[in-house]
Amino acid sequence: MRVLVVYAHPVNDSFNAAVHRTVVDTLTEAGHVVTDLDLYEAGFEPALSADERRTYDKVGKNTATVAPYVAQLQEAEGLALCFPTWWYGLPAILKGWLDRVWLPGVTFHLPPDGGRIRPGLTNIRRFGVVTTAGSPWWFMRFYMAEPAKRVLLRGIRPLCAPDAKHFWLCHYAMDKSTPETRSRYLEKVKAAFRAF
Amino acid sequence: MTERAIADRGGPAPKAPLHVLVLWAHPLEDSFNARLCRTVVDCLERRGHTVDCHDLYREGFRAVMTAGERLAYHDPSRNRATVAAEVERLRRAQALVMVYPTWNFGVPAILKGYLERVLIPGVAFHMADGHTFAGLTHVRRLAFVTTYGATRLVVKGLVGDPVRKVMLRGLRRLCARDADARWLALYNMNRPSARRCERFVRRVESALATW
Repeated sequence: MRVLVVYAHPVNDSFNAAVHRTVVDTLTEAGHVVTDLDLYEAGFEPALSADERRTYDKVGKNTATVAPYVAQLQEAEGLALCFPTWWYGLPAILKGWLDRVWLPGVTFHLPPDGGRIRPGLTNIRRFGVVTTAGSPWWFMRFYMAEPAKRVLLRGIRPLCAPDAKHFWLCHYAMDKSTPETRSRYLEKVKAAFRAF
Repeated sequence: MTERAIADRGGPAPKAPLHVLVLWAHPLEDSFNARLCRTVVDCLERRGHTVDCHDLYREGFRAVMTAGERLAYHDPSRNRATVAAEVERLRRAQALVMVYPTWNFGVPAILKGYLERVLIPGVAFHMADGHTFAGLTHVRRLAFVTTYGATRLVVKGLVGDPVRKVMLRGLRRLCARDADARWLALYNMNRPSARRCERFVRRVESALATW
């Protein structure tokens, strides 16, 4: 399967970098063809520009500034996102990738006569998210109601194939993590992507 | 006459004027969102508040946290070096208003970057013994003015309005203990209607007229 891995962390020797390497290596070993998009390395600019906002709704014209990123999405059969949870959500650089690349006419279609949004990325049949969070799981689940998970699994995933298999892995309480919890998490990540 | 004395006479207690920081995040100055921002600033100034409008796009705010910023993040003596001006403006605020379009069920990347780079340890919160303590106790009022492409049913029923939780729970717990928060949202902007937009502007005006 062709898998697009999107990664967002600025520090090369961070735990997230290790998670990212694990994801890419496991997928490659399992025989998948990986496109590895490291948003920091690519110098991705996350703020939707004035011109991009003006052409946002113009299907056919709106992809001009982000064509290679759009092509990556359209060629993918699987999508894996790898990032740290900051302020309960995606890092700005990854949020900007959604804002600028997930465009009308590409990732969804808005019928002109009204009616529901139709998914545009039905080529994507696998959707995996691996992340880390500073807060403990009970705080994220019961108090904050998992904002990043909701955005990605309920808001974004429905734009992929209707029967797309998906999973969400998070190492909570990173502030109190130990080498044991981190290596256990990497094993979980490996297992999930071996079966991707 | 004290506020209490006026309240005792049956009228609403007048609130003291505050210094308000307005964070605005939209790339176009001729957008409906720009109009919302102007409405907010005008209303607040008419009320007697002083307003600092931080226009993230025109002021060229950098959204991306760099490697250096990430490495210094947990050290309050170093972590604000690159955002000292923004931190100063935030610390003066007695009230905070955010005006932005909701894109992909979240704040625009530029505003997300503001949360990450300016609302940092030692500024927005303090961490000690594994606990988080509020750092924005000088912020006594919060207001959010936003638009959504999706309908209210999709935003609330299906996705669960995650950004609202981030703001009204995640951010509010870092402000003054009894901080008042207003959430003003217009839905279904994928199919905009001039009538609903006008009604929303009036709703924002009336909500902030006594704020």
